[in-house]
Amino acid sequence: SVMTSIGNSVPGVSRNVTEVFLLLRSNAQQDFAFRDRGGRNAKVRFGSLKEEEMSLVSLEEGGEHAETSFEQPMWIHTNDEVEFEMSRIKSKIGELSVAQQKHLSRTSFGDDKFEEMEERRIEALTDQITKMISHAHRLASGIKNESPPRENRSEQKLRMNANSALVYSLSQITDEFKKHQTSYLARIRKRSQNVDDFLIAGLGGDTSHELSLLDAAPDQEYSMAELQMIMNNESIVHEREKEVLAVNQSIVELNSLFKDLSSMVVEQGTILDRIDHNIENTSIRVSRAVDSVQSAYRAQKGDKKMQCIMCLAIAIIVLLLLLIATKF
Amino acid sequence: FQIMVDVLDTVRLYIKEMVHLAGPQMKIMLMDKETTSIVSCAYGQNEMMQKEVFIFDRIDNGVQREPIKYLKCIVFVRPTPDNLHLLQEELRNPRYAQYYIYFSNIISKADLKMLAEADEHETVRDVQEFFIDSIALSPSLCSLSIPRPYDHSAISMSVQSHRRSAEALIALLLSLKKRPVIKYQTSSEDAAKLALKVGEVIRREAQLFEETSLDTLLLVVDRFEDPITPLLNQWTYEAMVHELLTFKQHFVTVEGTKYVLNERDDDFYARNMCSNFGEIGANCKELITEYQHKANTHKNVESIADMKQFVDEYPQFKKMSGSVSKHVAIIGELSRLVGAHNLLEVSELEQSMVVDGDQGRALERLKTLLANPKTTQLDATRLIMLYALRFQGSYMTDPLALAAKIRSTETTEALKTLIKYAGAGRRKGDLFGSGNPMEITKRFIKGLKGVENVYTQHVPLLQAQLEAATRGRLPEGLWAAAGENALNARIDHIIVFMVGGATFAESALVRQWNDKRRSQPGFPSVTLLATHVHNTTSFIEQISAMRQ
Repeated sequence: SVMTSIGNSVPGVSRNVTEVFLLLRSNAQQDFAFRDRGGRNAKVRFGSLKEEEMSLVSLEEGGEHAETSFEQPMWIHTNDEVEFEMSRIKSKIGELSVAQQKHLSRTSFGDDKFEEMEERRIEALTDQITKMISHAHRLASGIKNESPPRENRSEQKLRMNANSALVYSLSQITDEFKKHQTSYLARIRKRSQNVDDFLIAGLGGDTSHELSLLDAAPDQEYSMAELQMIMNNESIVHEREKEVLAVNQSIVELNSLFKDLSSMVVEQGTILDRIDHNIENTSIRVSRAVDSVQSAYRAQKGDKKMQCIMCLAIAIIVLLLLLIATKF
Repeated sequence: FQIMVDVLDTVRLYIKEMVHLAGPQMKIMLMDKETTSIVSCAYGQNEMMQKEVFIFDRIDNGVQREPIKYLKCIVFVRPTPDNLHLLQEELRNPRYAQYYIYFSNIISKADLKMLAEADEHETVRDVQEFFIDSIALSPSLCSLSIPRPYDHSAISMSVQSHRRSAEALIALLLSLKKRPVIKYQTSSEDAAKLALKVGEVIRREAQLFEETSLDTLLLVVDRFEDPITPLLNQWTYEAMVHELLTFKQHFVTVEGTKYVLNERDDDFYARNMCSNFGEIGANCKELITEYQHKANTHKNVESIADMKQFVDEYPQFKKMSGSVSKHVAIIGELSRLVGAHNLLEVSELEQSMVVDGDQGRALERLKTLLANPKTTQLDATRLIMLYALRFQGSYMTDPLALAAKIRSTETTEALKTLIKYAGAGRRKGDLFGSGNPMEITKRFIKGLKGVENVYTQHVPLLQAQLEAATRGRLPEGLWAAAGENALNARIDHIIVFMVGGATFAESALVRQWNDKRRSQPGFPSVTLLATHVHNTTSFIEQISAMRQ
């Protein structure tokens, strides 16, 4: 009986015949080996010997060949590196997000050392991620631009396509990071706005209070406390401003990197994204290339014939001249 | 909540699973002519590239492929003798590291053995049958893309297209996990043969059909019972594109530029493919206004914030601009042709001829239109054919005499074949609803109310067939059952196979039917599979090919 299993991994019915295939394959190989050993017929023997010899040759050839082409080109390692880098970027973004959340949910605005440390950490992380992204981007664009020696056309296509897919995932991560930073920025702004509003409202209230006091008794001790508070607030505002600038900086930097990354978004749904269209196009290009090679070859061949004829004609003329010169 | 049957989604899940089974690392996908169409209509290249399939190629295009030994190879082909031969060659001299082979249909043990013998280098890792054997053009429409399934000099299908149709049907049933009750039109030999063949395969491959559900009805119908629908001018976006510009597996060419119209990644198209021409014009205008608004906001980039927003939205904007120029080009060309060919008048005559059936008036207007220099050869032919089919048996003027008027031997010959293929002598169904009191009453009421749209009065016969099937009232003499007779459960799904091809009018009808299921529970969902999706030109060519 045929051993088959009916799978559940797809929505409909599927039948896995791999086991049957492997069984048939090992049977075929056993048959082949058996025939090879016990073949009495000289012809068969000769045939199989020849086959063996040929397979030896082809193995050797193939072996050499295999060694060169089994060896993955450098760009694949770079590709893997970028992929690894992307997974690190993802986890760093997660880390940053946690830190920012913590920072935003803090309510006090003291001259807390701890808070300053936290801010530094956020800044450092942002900086690190930005650097990692530009590094990954540099690596990825290197893949596109450096063609390894002895690369055939299919390998080139592979490299280009792999690269554009890589760049696309990279741009998606970058987008995610950019969106993340933009929303963080908006929240910081909103918060500092709230603080400002609060302060202005507070001051407003105080000034009226102050004015009424002014008439009564101009005093200094109260102003000192107020001044202190205003100074403090100003430094907070300044601090926020710096933060905003830093986040903005990272976004601007990333924008300049990823101008060319969005081609895959644009291509989606167009003719360039159709598999059949692309296959047809390359096969047309290939057959045209073969044609032009052939016609070039023919032209060359024609040239050679022509050269031959010319050479012979010149030789005949020279000999004729010689004949005439010596005879007469 | 109603489970919707979505053939396009099913195809996508099968392909996704192939790629998943091949595992990580860079991959190439080898296909044949037909599976290339199947995959291309379901997945974009960029989407596949995200799954690390970076190269796509045909196993059967005769182009020498260069080896890349560090690639994995997914092979998805139909199990034909040619493909098996090519695959054997491929395995004897493997160009890639590993092979994951998926056949679109049942492969025989003998073929599997041949393949196993060829796998001397032991590069094959997986061999499976994944049952997707027809091109899913939309969630409820599959096509075999055989424009001429008939034998020359006969009005029945060739052996080859017959086999192909049976295979596609079996695969569709398996991919949807259905073991249906099969009914076929008794007037059609092709439908009968096909239905019986499918029944036979279901019995033979009992193991494959073990876990299938019994809630489905398979209707095998023949195009010749409704030759009217493919002869009419159409007024929905999708059908018009096919009728006037020819729509081939989502491709359409306008003035030398090839475009893709695919509801999967074109929102405007998805929303408007079944809207009629008037609506499309208005919606296109809206699209342009929206675009202009966006373009203007992008024009005044003043602050850094504007710039940032611009850079963020630029890809989407560029995508939109591509989409707008595409639809403007296509819709512009459609409306040019409507005017140039006087299609409104032509269509009005077609509809009134078919629906009202007033021969005297029809003939008078037909003669005027035939004399009009704006009327194309194609439209003249279709009008004469409609006249011939509608008034067969009571002609006031011989249609052949009308055909002689336009001086086309092609039309004359095709007309003769059409009458042989789909004339009253062959049709058993009530195509024009003349014998049905319900239809007559409906028409009478319609006459009192006045028609809403004179260009879209005709309803394809499929509507009546689906209604009858849902009520369990398919007329005894016209339909017969093949294989298992009793329907155990309530009909939850209907699969229609159309011998001789379907049209986008029928596809739109099926869509409507499925939309109804969303709101009205208990309505069966419908899937349409056809040998081809015709427009009038390809339908007439199919007929012309029969007599050669």
